[in-house]
Amino acid sequence: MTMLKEIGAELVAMFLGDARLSLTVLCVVAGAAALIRFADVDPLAAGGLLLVGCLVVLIESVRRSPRL
Amino acid sequence: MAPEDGDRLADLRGFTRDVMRQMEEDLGTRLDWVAGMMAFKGVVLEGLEVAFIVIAVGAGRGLLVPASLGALAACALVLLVGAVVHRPLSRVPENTLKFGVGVMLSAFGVFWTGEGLGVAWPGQDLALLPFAGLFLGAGFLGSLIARRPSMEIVQ
Repeated sequence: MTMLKEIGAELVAMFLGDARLSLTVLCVVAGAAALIRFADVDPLAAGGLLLVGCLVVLIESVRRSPRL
Repeated sequence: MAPEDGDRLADLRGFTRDVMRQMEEDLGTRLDWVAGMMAFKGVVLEGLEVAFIVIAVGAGRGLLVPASLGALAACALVLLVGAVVHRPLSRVPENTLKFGVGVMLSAFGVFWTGEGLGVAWPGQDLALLPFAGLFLGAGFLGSLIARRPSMEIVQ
């Protein structure tokens, strides 16, 4: 059972190395989708926001990570 | 083992083999098995990613068979290239490889996510190049930030 739990945890860790980063990126994607779907924003503008948002999230994630 | 012990080692290769042999005895297993598990884990992850991409690209447009054939051809090509260049590739530092793969995956991820949301990227597939450039720049900026000593250490 312990081994199964470890395998399960490994499988999750393969996709979710950093849960906070994954969640923030999902929020950026959801925000871009909501802008297109509900706010009638030009898809290209929302795409630009998606790109900039991902870049900002990436840099912020590095800035927040502990230094060695 | 410390750098100052280096002068006591007549043969680094022989010493490394002895250490590995000792590790096998201590772990009670062959290291081939451990290496096999690590390789399996990596291949499963990449294989799942390919499966997701093939389904995402092919299923919505009724192109599942051509997309699957393309994935199989890419698999064969990667195996062939890997067999030919595995020695020089093994000399590339692991973190450099991860950095490069991260840049490419991020660029593809934003590109495809945008397409999924209905964004018509200017230049179509060529938009991937500036995306990769931006993520490369962000990666370098991130590495600069990560190298800076934290405020606690400075103080």
